[in-house]
Amino acid sequence: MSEIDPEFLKQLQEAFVIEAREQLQNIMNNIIQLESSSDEDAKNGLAENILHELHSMKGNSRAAGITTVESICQYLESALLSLRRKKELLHADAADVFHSAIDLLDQYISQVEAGNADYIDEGFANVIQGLKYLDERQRLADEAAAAAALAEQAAGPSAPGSPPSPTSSPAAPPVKAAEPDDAQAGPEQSTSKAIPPANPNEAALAAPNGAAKAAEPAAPAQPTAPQRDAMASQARDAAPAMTATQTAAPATQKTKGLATDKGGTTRIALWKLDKLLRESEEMLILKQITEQRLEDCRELRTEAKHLSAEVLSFQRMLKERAQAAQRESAQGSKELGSFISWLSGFSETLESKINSQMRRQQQEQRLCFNMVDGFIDSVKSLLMQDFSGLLSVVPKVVRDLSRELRKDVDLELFGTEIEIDRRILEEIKDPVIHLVRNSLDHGLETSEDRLAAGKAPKASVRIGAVQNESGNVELIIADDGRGINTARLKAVAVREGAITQDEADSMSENEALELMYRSAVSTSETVTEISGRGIGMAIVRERIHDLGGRIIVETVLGKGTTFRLQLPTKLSTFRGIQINAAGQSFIIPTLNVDYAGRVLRSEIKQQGSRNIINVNEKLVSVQYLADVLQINYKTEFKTRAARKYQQLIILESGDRTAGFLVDEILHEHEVLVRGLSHPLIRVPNIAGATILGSGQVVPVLNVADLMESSLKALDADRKLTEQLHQQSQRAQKLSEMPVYLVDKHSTSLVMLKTLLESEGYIVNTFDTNEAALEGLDVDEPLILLKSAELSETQESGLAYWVRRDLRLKDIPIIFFGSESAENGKKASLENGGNAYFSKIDFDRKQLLELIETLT
Amino acid sequence: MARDDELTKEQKQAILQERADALAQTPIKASKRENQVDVLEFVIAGEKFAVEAKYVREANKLAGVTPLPCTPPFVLGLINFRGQILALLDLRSFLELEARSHSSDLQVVVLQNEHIQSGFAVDEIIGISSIPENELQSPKQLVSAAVAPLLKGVRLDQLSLIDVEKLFADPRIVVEAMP
Repeated sequence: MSEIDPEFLKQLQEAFVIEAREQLQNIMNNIIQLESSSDEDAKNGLAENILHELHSMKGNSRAAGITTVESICQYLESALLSLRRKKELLHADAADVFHSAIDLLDQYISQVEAGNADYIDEGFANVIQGLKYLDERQRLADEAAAAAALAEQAAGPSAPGSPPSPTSSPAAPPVKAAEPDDAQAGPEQSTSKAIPPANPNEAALAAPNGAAKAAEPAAPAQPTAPQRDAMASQARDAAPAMTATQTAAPATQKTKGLATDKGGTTRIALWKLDKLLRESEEMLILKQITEQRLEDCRELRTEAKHLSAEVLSFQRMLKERAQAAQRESAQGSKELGSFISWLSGFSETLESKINSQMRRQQQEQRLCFNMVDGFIDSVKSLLMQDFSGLLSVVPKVVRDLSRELRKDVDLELFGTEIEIDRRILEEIKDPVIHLVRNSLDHGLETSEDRLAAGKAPKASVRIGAVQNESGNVELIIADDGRGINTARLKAVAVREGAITQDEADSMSENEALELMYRSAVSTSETVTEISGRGIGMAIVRERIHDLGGRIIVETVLGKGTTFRLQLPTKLSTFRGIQINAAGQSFIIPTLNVDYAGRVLRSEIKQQGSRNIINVNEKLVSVQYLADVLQINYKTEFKTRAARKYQQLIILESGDRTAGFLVDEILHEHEVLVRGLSHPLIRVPNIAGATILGSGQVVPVLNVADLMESSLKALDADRKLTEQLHQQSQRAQKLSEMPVYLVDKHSTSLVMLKTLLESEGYIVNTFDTNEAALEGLDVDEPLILLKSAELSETQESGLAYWVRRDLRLKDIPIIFFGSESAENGKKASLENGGNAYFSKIDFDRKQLLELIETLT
Repeated sequence: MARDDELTKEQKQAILQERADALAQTPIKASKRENQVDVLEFVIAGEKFAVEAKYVREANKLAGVTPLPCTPPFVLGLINFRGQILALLDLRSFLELEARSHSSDLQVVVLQNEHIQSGFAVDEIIGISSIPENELQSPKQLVSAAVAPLLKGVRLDQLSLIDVEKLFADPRIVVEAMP
């Protein structure tokens, strides 16, 4: 055979690894079933499956030049055949040898994956030895060969050495062993063919072997040397051709196998699927854009409404003035009048046009949402995989552990056909294995203990998936063991200092179960090799949480424990809440948000050096997010502590919870989070960033980091306390004193009232100066906001009286009107006002800041 | 227009073909003078710098930068570069330039090599030019020891050519910190 191109060989080896993993899994499952099966026919069928997989693995490994795997497969085959002949399928000792061989295969396959196709260690010789021992004929043949070698050695020193050992020359044994064994297998294979193969493909896949045998139908049990060589070269020559079919074979095999029940499938490289998913998720930006456009439209509508209102009030003023001035400049006011009525009509049309535009955009938005969501959903469903892959590793774990722990276990798997996002499957693999190990190690009793407790000696473990009506999937891990002893959990927790004895005594059963997730608490009195290191459960829960799932434990002492992992079937797109802190926007993962809303400033209490708030019966420490992020904010944000209401967001990560004060809590977005790129390898508190529909880049916060940082920001916390203290007087004022709002136009009254009340002010409205003056007899307002249109001179009016009253004279007064800021300011200052703001270029932020500075 | 109408279809085709051929020509100037290096010139803090044009992805006005907390001052923030999120860096501290604030209308030069893409803030973009390599002097005697490794050379008129590969590889520009 000519030298294989190294690149081609590499490809072969890559293909080999992928396929070998599947084959090994099948072999393992069949062996486990073989161990527990008692029906002869069933056993033969299982053995047939194993032989079939071994055979194709052997062929593949030969083609890919992995001699170790080839040999192990070879010896496994002959050992299995030998056992079947003796009807000894499959006693425990043999099973142990098989399992160690499988473990070794697994190890070698991993080595091939890592690029060490020639890897070999002492395990090889041991396993081969064990397998040879199982294969009686092989053993006899070996002994004969050894005797012959000895004889040869005795005859002359020119033929040195014992038969080549597998370790010294890994290539030798397979070729040597292959032929006699294949020949031996001949008659048996034909008898076993009488049993209809479970899978029609089997026959096709067995073809290379069958063909080789067909060429030598009358091959004697011990072929002569030339025959052997001919067969060997035949097999080797066939190798390159085989590789082509081998790489193609699994695909067709899968397709055929599934075609019958699922209507055609195809294999697609995972990276292609992942790319498709990523690209489909990029379409989320379309949703954001439509949202942004709608928002723009809303703003436009507000402005148009404003315009209409202004035109209307101007029209009214014009009428009043016309009445007062009678005939004066009648011509000019007539023209103006007609212009204004045109303007009024125009602004109405504008408004209705914007309204209909908005409706259209709303429809388009719905359409866009449906299409994008539908598409992303379809792509996600491409990534669905059933549980069989995950659950297929369980029997091996259970088998190994039950032998090690000497616990007799009956394992039941169910729901393997249920599908779930493969990324979720990957994430839960470790937690599931952990729970299974826990269950066997801690949950199950030994047979003696079970008998003593009046239970069946054989324990039962049920693992599987069920789909509930809400579309979520529940993975259940149930055992009928001793249950979780909460008393012991509490005792350990007290001993470890995690809780006090008092706390333990007042704990409910459920609260006590929670202790299981604390680090350093484990019911297992002795730390075993298998589990009981007391770190696992916290991580298990965190993983499930991170996936958007939940873990529920049901346990009855002496009866057993059931873990229910409630999982979403699809990984949700990242949802985040946009907040503002110190003038900067950030996104916080919704998953970590426990609470978001406003709280009364007065509810934030000082406790030692920390600030604490009680939200829903839970005490949470509170800090300014801007302080934790160490943003050097401008002075304008420093007045925030005085606000009556504070915007609080409570975050949780792992077992930590902390509250953060922000300036504004904005919308929740569905966003695509991207990692930061070079040179930003890792930025504390920042997990990545996203681009909003407006094109704005917004950083996404790393909540786990925030928890860490919040502890370090305690110093800054102290500053907050001082600030809160200093400002508390002012806040007191705010909370009790009303804002007086005086205007004859009810629209502006309502608008301003709503705005101020949303900021936590108490607002009293009056439509005349006189009404306001009456109110002033009893109240002492925080500030007066007064329309400049209500007559006000230096000798009469509201401001005039307020300024003359000893009790009220220091109350700040703000005038507002439709004059521009420049024109209005002068008159208001002359009339005793402190400031003026214009309704025309009304800026809500500016007004609020004005009020804050004046009060 | 009238003249155009008189041309036959073939004639028009021929003219278009001629123009296309002319456009397809590789500029003779560049290929003949091998020791030229095409650069993008710009100004930072009143001093002239350049980078090799092959590293320049784009040079444009800064459309908006999102400040990023918990980063050193040379990280000005994040920018949206055609849907990609890139860091915007300020080179003044590395080039030992006056730390006075940037002019209000910052320009961004997006540089990239095989693996890395990043934005750099400059005050003014001058444009593309060619520098004969023999006009460049070694920076070693001209600038401080900390800056010299970042420069490929300095021209007589004090234009410094920044070595983009060295800049990207400089550990000082990497941000990697725990909370």
